[in-house]
Amino acid sequence: MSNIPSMRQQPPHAPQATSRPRGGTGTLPDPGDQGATVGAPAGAEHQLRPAAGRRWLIALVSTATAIWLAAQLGAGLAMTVQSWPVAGFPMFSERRTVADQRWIEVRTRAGRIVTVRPGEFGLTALQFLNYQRGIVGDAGMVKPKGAARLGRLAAIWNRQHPDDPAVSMTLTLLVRPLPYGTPGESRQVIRWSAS
Amino acid sequence: VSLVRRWQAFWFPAVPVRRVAVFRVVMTGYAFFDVWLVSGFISRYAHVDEAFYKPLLFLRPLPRLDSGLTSAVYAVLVVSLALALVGCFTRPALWIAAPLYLWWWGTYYSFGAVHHGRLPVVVALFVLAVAPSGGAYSVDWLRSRRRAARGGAWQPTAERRDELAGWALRVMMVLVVGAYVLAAYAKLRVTGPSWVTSGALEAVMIRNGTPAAMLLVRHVWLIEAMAALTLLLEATAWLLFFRGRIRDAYVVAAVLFHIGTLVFLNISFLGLVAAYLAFYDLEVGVDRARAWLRRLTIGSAPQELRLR
Repeated sequence: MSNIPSMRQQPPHAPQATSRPRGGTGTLPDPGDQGATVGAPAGAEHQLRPAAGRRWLIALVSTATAIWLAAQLGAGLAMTVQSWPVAGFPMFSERRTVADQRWIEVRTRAGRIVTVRPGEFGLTALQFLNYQRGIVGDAGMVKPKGAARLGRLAAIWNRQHPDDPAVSMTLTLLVRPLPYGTPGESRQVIRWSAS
Repeated sequence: VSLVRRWQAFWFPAVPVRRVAVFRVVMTGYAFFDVWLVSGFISRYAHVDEAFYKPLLFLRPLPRLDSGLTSAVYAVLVVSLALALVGCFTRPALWIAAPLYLWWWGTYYSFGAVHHGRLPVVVALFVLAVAPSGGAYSVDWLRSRRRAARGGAWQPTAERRDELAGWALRVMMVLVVGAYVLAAYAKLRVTGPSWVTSGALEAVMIRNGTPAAMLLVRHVWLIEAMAALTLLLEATAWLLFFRGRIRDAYVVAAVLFHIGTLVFLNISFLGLVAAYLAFYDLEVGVDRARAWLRRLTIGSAPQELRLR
């Protein structure tokens, strides 16, 4: 697109502009250029901010920008996402030697075997997967609080199914080596049982 | 002093208010339809068990809202975004919409999966609230013109330039470039240049399992080529700061890249793609579109017969 701004609507009696018309975002203004009052005639001063107030506003916004930039850079270098919307971007950055597939099943008091779906907890597939990652990691490593987290999941499921609660819940993790199609797989099963 | 001047000159270039106004229409339009049509389901998260709730840092001091209050937030958010879109009480509407949109998506992300696609939209709503984004293409603008005409006073012109309009767009530019560069940094820091052959992309393609992805994962060399292009694209995002063909070529490549993430990974970055508009002289685009429409209308109008 062109850099030339259109000035055809400028009134003929416009006073001296405090900044020259210039190109778009790629062209920086002269240092000290106020630049905000192009096209405003003498009768319009009341519509503009007082110069001192404007300077303070710019200073405030400038300070806030510096703080945001420092925080954003810090979060980016620390690769944290809990500080969203000022966050790092570590998604998909880890080396992966395996692809995993996991599912959770419950055996109910009536003897039914039911596959647990994310929607039963009101979660998306990714949110449910990330909860399960707190039980067992993608490579098959059981987490320290994994059993407790599975037990909590069973308790929530039982609250929603009081007529036929679960007597056991199992999380099965199937790990296949990468690249895709490489033979061999391993299975990890974590079980919770009602005592 | 020179450093401060350079800083101010970089962050506060005076640009036409019309440019930031067009950007407002695009970003609030995206946010409005995003909330209204896509994200209504988030109100159901008020019922999700506490065990799944891991609040983001900014939400930790705040209580979790019940379903009644969540629905009220939803209603206020939709109305404020609609007002911001048409430019009616633009600044107050944006000051209401920005924190509510942040809260809305922050709540959703507090259940174990943070996405970055809405980050540019959140930041855009805040910077548009500070900038004079209602200074054109808005009901506020029409009202102020009518008021001025009635009083016989000077009529405000949409050709006004403003440093805060330039600042808002600069923040968006830095955010877009920063997002890509920091994503490249994370890959290089965690895995190194061998990220390309690390299986990270392959694993996520298999996990998300779109039909297109499952066709590709059988060809390792193709996945590695895609990973190399991803890393190259992210690491060279600073090219967006150059005007002209370099920028245009980068934007085309990035849009294709995000079409790829949608098709192969089922991950949408539409908000980030919309934020690319911050790099362009949008008011010129509007003028061209208007001129083109005018030519089209005149061309299709019945020709007047000249009588002798």
